Amino acid sequence: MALSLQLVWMTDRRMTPWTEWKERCAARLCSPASRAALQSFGGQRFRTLAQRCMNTINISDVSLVTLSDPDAWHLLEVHMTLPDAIHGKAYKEWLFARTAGSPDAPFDVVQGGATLLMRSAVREHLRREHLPATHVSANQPPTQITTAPCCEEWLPGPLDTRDTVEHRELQSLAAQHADRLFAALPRRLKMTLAARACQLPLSTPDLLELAGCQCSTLHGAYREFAERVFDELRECYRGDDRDTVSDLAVEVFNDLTQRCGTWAENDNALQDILQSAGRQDGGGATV
Amino acid sequence: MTLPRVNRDQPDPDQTAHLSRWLREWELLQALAPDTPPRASHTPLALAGAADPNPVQAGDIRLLHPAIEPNGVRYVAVLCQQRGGDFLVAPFGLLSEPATQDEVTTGRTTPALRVLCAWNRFEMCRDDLQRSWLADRLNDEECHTLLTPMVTATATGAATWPADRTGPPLRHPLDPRWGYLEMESEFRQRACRPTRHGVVYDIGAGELRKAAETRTPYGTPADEDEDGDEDRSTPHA
Repeated sequence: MALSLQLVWMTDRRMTPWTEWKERCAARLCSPASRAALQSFGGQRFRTLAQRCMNTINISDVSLVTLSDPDAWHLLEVHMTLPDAIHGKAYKEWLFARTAGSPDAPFDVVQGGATLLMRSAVREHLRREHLPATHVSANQPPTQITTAPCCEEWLPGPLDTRDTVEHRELQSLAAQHADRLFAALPRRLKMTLAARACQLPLSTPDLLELAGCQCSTLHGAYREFAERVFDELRECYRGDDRDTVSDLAVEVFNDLTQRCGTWAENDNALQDILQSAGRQDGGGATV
Repeated sequence: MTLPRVNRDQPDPDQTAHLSRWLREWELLQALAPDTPPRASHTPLALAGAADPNPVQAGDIRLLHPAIEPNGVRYVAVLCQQRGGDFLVAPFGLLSEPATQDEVTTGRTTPALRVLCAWNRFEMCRDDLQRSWLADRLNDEECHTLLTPMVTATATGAATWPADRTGPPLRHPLDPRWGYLEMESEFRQRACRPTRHGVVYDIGAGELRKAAETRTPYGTPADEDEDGDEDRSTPHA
C-alpha cells in the first residue's frame, strides 16, 4: 500500500513540493520552485483564515495582520514542531498518513491537512500578537461593540464561610424548586441533563436515537431550559439580591442535573448508553 | 418570599483574567472551525502504515494517527497500563489555557503540549497507540507532578493540582465552557470508538463447532439456518 501511494505521489506532479518538503527538514532547504509553491500556499491560507477572525481581534483590516508568504509558511513549521523532542516533526507523518485509504487525490488530502494545521498556527499567532475585539485603543477602535462576557456571573467569588446556615437554607430552597421542576420535566430534557451529568456528548448517536431528535434540538432544549430556570427565579425573587438569585438558580440546576443522573440509572435504555460510554473513558472523568 | 442573604468574597482576579483569556481563545477556535469536518479515514488502522517501532509505555507523548483523529494533530500522554492490557491516556488540550479545575498546565511552551486534560482521560488499546507516533516522553518531574495525581485519582474521581496550574471552577449551566467540554468529549468518543478494536463475537467457546465435529443430519431445519449452503454435501451421520 505504501508503495502504491508513493507511486501516486510521484505521478501527481503537484505533490513534488510536498514530498520534497517531507524528505527535507524545512521549506528553506527545498528547491526554489518547491519552496515558492509551499510558501505561496502558506501565505494564501494564512490570509483566508485570518480574515475569518477579524471580528474577534481589535483590528478590522486583514492587511494589518497579514504575514508575507515565507513568514506564513515559517509560522506553520515553527508552530507545529516540538523543539528538543524525540520526534519533533511527527506532524509530517500525520499529514501524509491521511492519504492512506482516502478516496480523494493525495494532493488534495495533504493540502486539506496542512490547512487544518494552519488553523491552529493562525489561532496561536492572533492570540499572541493581537488584542481582543473588545479592547479599546486610541489608535485602533474596536471593530464592533460586543457585549462583555458575563464573567462575573459565570465565575462568582467564593462563598463567605461564615454564612453556612444561610447557604444551607439556600440549598434547601433549591431542592424545593428542583422537586417542582423535576416533576414536570419532559423525558427528553431529563436525558439531556443526565448526559451532561455523565460527560456524554449530546451528539452520541445512541442517545439521539433514543431521544428521537437531532443534536441541535437537545442543545437548544438544554439552553432554553437553563434560561427559563434563571428567568423564573428572577421573576419569583424580584426584590432580592441578583447575585443570590443567580446562586439559587445554579443550585437548582445542579440539583436537577444530579436527579436526572440518578433517574437515568433506573432507565434501562439510557443506562446502557451511559454505561457503554463509561466503559470507553476509563471511568474517571469528572469535572 | 425573601431569600437568605449569602455573602460572597470578591471573585479571584487571577481566575477572572484566566477565564477571559480562555474565552478569547475559544472565540478564535470557533471562528476558525472548518465548515465541514474532515472526512475520517476509510482505512482500518491496522492497515494504515507501519507501526511506530518504539514500545508503548507510561510517560510517552504520542501523536494520534489520523485514522483515530482526522480533525487535527492531537497528542496524548500515556498514563499507565490497565489490567486488561489497554492503556489509560490523557489528551493534551487544544487551547493554551486550562478550561476547568480538571485541566492542568504542563509548563511546556509548545502550543500543542501546554495543557493536559485529566477529565477527558480514556482507555486506548495497545495497537492504536503503537500506530501513533512517539513524539516525546514526559520527564521524571512531569511524570511525578502531572501523571501521578491522575493515575491515583482513577478510582476515586478527580485529580487535584495547585490552583495556579488549573482552570477556574465551572458551575453555571450557561457557561460556554460546556460547549468546549462537549466538543472534547466528542473527540474522546472518536478516539476510543469500538469499531477499530478487534471484533468480539458474542459466542461462547462451547457453542463453536470444530471442523471435524459431527454435524446434525442433512435436512434438519436448525442446521439449514445456521450453515447455509456450504455444508449441504455433508454425508448423513
